[in-house]
Amino acid sequence: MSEANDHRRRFMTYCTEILLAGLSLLVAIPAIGYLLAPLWKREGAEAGFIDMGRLADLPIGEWRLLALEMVHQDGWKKAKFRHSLWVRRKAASDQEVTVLSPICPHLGCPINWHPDRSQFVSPCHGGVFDAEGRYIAGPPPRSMDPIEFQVRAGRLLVRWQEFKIGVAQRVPVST
Amino acid sequence: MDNEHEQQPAVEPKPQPGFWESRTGWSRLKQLLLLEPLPGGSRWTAAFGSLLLFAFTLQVITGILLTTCYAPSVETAWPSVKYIQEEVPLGGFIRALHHWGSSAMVILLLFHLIQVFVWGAYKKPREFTWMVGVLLLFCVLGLSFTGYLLPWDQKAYWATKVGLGIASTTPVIGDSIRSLLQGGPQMGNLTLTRFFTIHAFILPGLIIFLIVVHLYLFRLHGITPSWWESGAQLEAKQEPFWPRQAWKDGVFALVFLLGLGVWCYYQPAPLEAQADPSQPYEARPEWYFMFLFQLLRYFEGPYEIVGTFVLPTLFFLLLLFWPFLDRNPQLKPRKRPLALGLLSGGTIGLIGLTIYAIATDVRMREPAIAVVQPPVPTEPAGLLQRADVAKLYNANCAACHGVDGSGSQIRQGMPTIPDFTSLTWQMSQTDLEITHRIQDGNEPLMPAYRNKLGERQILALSIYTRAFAVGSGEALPPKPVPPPPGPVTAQMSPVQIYRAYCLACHDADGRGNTVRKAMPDMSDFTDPKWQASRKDEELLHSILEGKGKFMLPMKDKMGKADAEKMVAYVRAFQEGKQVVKLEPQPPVVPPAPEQPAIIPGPKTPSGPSPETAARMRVAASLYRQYCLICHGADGRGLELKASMPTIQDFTSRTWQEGVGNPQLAVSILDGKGTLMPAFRGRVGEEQAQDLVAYVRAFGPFRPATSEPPPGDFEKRFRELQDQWRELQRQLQELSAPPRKP
Repeated sequence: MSEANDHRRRFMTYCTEILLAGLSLLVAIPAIGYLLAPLWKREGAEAGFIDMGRLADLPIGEWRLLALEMVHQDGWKKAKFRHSLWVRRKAASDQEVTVLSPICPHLGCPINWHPDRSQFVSPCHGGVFDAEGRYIAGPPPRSMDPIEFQVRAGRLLVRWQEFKIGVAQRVPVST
Repeated sequence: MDNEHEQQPAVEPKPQPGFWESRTGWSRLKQLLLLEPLPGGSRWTAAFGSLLLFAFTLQVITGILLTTCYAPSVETAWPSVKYIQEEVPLGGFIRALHHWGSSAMVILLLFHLIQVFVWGAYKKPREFTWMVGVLLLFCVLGLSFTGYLLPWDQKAYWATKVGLGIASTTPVIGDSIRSLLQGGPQMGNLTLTRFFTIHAFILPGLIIFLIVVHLYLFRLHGITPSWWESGAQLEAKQEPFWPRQAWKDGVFALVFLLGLGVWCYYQPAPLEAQADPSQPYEARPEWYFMFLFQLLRYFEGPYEIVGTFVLPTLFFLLLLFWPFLDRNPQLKPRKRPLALGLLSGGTIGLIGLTIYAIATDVRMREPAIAVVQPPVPTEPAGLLQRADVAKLYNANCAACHGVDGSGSQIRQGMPTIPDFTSLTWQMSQTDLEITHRIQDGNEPLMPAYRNKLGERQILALSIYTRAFAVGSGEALPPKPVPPPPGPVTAQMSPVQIYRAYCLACHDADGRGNTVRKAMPDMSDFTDPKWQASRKDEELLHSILEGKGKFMLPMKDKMGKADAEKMVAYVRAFQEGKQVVKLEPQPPVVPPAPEQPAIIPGPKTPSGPSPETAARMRVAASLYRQYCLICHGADGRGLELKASMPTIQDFTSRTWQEGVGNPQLAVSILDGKGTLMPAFRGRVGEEQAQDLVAYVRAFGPFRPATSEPPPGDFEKRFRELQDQWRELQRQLQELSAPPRKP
């Protein structure tokens, strides 16, 4: 085999490799773009306030786990999601209400209220919070997350919000 | 094989196997896959096979991507495909690649088949390569048939229905085949899941296996020499697959990909309306099955099976066993007249049938009408009668604009609703503007009726709209419009919705006592036990879809969001905590312009005194509030006739003649039979008299109060007729040349 022939063959190989690489890229770019779509999904509109019922129905000074139902755009359809919230009325006044997210800031387990200990305890890794939701002991990096609420015409309205778990700062997660 | 290895010049000297080589043996693999010598060297004509492989790989990749957002079930298939098409970034493009790629693959397959046939590449010893190829062809056709159903749009549903029908004509086992594919006696969820499994797992798996066998056999026997080359020539030009043949394959693939990409960029994959078996549809298969479609037209009655089963099966068997039927060892096309005659005859026949089928198919000529739009409601032949238009108005427009056209019923919720009875409004609108408004809607509240009504119906409605101003004669001060209280909401508030649709049966306090006698199942919203036993979703479903005999479905009256609000509103009745205030009756204020024929039915107005007219308007609003839900806008009660056979038809002459006014008033005030509730307390005695008059107006008589109208009406009606003719002329102008988008 002559040297020129060998040279031509190497050039051919080089060209073919570039061609095939280009071809693969042409297929891969849209494919990867499509697969990565969830990463650049626009943030959903901010959730509105949801009616949780009459404030007067709640006993004073007791933590209650209330369920709320919200409608999300879930893929191709609107779907209902249920969440729950810890709610306590301190006094008869409208603003003396505490609303806490039951999601543990450690790894996201649902936090339970222990009336006998007057503490919130995460059932998974033993995070402990006091009756105001402040961090006491265990692995969670911060206190329980308060949830925004309003009282209008005697009714409690809350705006559901999730926060990033596992970090000391309270960073809202867009829904 | 070993011999060839030794003859091969050492391309890669192997002094010491490296890290990878010693662990994977990849250079041996490379040798086997890429460096095997091809007799005759690389050639462009050999690239079609690899191009097919590339096209198949592209289908696999796009198919896998599509499955990430696809959910095969009757409820979700279409919405999820629509979601891919419209919401997912690049989703429409990927779906187009998959959709058009399948068509491209069928074309490439035919090319490949013809090429192989002309070259005689099926002849000894390559018979099995050919047979595996034929199996691959039918697997690909199976893929396109099963993939067709997955979007679950009209086209998918009907084409598959026909396809399954064809399968069921197979003798003896036909019905079993259909049931097996369908997953049951009906097309539904199980059909979708089965087709999805076949399309996404079984056939691709089979195809990959067959491709491996096909390629193995191909490499075993080597490329078929062209008929003009001798064995010695081939030996001399021998070279490995890599890189020259790979380069040629790559160039083909690149051209194919760019072409397909450009096509898909400009031509999105079609998605029709969601499958609805109740809608008539002209089912057509994908274009590459059109020849079969055409073929079936030639075989009728008992011979149909010839087209659906005998011919396709014979064709398949002929194709499959062709290498054993054609025993002529010659490769030169000139020496194979029979084979090539058959090939050209078959190809021309196939292409001819396809083109003929597409060209003569009435529907395919105007795909925009039949494909994109849902079927337009059939318009009655001949001239539209006034009564028809009134019915049309009552069915489509009266819900918002009111039977009297004033829209006052919901102006609170929709402050922008026009008042058809206002001369100011009428003067500000041209006829064409009104027509277009009906046709295309008006954001955000007026829906477009383009797809619901025919053009003549829309024209007739715009004239009908004009007729609301007929009676007003001379210029009048515009009617005072109450300023919208509170914030401007796009929707009616729940209390307004409740008043309009629920109150007649469920009562102001939600107990539903008034009609319980007639409807023992009536729910008591104040009962905590009832509240606890129903989930929100159940209530929502009952509101939207109706329940039992009497609860009418409201889905055409309100959206899901409104229905959800109504669920909350119903919840609020618990323990009697909520009572709906009745709508304040408009005070009886004379004088008001007389309305045209619209209240309540298709009657001509006859100009009663202003006071009577005002009282009639009150009666009309009472009728809407309490009676309309059962007796209907036209007083015939057709909607509930099935569950209440004794409901009266107010338009019937015999009924009108057989009942006296006092008797009617008593029925309204104290109820009648088991179903008609008593309205005493909600309706005053005088109002009951007015309602009687209103009910009388449905009948073939005019109420006695009317006086013959002045000639004004005649004049106005002639004007309208002129307008009608003018609009029809415009319509003809519009429809004469094909409408451009």
